[in-house]
Amino acid sequence: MSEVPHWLQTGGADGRILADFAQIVGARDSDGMPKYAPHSVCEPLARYLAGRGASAKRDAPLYELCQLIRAVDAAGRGADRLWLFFLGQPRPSANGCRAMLEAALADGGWSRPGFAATEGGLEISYADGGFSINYGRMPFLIALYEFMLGMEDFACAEEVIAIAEGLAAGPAEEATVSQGTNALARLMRRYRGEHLNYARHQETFDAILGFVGVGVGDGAEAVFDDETILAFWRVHNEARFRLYATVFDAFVGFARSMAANGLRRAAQMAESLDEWSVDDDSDVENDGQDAFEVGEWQSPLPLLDQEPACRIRFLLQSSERRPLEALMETGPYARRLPLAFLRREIFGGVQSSISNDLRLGREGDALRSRLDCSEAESYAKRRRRLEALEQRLRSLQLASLHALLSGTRDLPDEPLAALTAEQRNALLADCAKAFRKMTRKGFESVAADDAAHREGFRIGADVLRRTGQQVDGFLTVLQRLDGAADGLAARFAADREVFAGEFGKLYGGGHGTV
Amino acid sequence: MERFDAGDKARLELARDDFAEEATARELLGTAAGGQGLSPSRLYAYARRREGTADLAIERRLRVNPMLRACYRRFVAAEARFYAPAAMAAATDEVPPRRGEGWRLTAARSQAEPGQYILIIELDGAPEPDVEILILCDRDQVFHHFAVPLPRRGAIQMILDADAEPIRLLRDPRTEAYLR
Repeated sequence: MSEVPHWLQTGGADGRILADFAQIVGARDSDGMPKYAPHSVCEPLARYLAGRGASAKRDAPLYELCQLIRAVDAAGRGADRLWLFFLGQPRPSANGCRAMLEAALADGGWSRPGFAATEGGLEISYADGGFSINYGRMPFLIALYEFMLGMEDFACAEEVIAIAEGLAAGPAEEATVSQGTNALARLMRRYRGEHLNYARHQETFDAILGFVGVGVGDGAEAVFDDETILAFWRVHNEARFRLYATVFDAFVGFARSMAANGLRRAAQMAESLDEWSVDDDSDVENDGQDAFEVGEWQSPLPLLDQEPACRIRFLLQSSERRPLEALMETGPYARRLPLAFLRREIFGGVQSSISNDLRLGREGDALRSRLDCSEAESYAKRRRRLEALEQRLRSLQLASLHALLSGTRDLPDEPLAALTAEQRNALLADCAKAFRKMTRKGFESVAADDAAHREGFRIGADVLRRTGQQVDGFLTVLQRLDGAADGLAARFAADREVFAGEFGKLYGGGHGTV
Repeated sequence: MERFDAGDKARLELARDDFAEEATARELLGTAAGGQGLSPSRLYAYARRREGTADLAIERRLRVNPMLRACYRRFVAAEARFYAPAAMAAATDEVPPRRGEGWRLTAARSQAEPGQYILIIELDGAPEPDVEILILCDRDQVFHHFAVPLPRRGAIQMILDADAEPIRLLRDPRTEAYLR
């Protein structure tokens, strides 16, 4: 096995696992499009790989994979059916998997009893039990199998293939699948043990807990707000936590883990969700939905990169998508920690530019203006930019609605049900006008029979709606902050002074280290 | 103000693990964005290619990584309709013939043009199998792909120069053959 470059070793994952994962994320079809969907395949795969294989539940994907291997092997009779299914699909999708299995079955039927294809997926039955796999789950399982074949530069391939062959040849009973699962799980545990080190991230958790912990024993709590995050960074930035953005992200991760913990406890104790989530003084309106959001939030933007939505240019990359990425990634915590988030966006960005300047050996006025934050975008200006983006999102939503409605005779109840005829006609006119003004790829007339195009608009419209809600929610919080005695302008001035002081300490004089 | 219960040690340990796992997942996702290595599916596509056009980067990796070669060999074998192992060591022919289940591969010097060979692939059974690629695996486990014409009356014939790549490879009795 080749030596792993040391520079790749950035955190808990070593260069080998990063390289192994990169070859899955970087896999492309013949058109240069990503083979695996980032949102529905790569993210869950990363989470599965990052898990510690000790718990049986964590190995559930391996159990599913073993079931799928057995089913695919039994579908049809082509000598290469397993490879074709697991490695031969240019961009695995639920429909693609279904079509491939149907074609294999049309050619030779099931070669063994106990399997059935249904509308939603595959049903597998044994004398001692049964199992079903949805078509929608298959792309993830395919990526998992491909990852395991390629891990450690194919060093495990023979072992993985032998396990798959054992699954295919083994008796039709649940024990065969369990044995295969255990063998793959052992392999994965060893792999994680060699290539993942959680200690570094656990130390970050401990550092945050040590900083925000209040009390001891049963009544102990972890309590923090925007100012805590800034204070933590100021205390630690000369050592491990140099970048403010990293500190902010770590606090959000901390909050998510603690919230998930609370959800677990709440589920177990059958408590109502609103007992644990936020205190009564919170600025943020809280309800059960918000409690779920903080634990489960995922940015919807990656859905725009997947078929069929990627055929339509909903957002322009640099002027619309990029300014929204962090807000959407942070999700509800941008609203709950609005100042901390603004600092990440504005001063975290300045700090990143300083790091780049120093890395590239750039000096002079540009670097000086970054160090003293004199050209940092003000919070008020950022707010105005977001307001403009919100308007653009609204136009895009209207145009998408027009695309969805065009060519259909029966107008859907939602979102038109609550409107009077006059309001409805006005809305439809606005939609048509917005659509006409939109000169982006995909915003052409949508043929009634172009199901993929319509589905693209359906997905995109939902992403735009959720993005609009997030922007709107954040702007509402900013408006509230601006209305307080120390409005956004005063807060920005104070923060600029703090960050300029810290940057001066970190990078000033001899400019310190990156 | 964010406020969380931190009193239960066991639960705190779970949250700590969650945090480390999520941070690791983000690390994987953040670092992998620009990566493009040799994935198993890319290797599989390469094994299924029609002919020639060697990808030098893949060939280089195949040369140095025996596990990769073993995987590649499986892909080729799974796709092939016919396989013939290495020729008998005692064979005296200049180009030892290969025999596999359902087919034979021979090469004889042309009577008319001594600088040429006639490569003959004979296929058993009817209907005629639909084959188009001859794959030769040399003693170093390097795979060479060659397009072949469609079979006619159960046989494929090709006239090749004596120094043509397939003839050179087949002279070595250790070269194995696949037909796809």
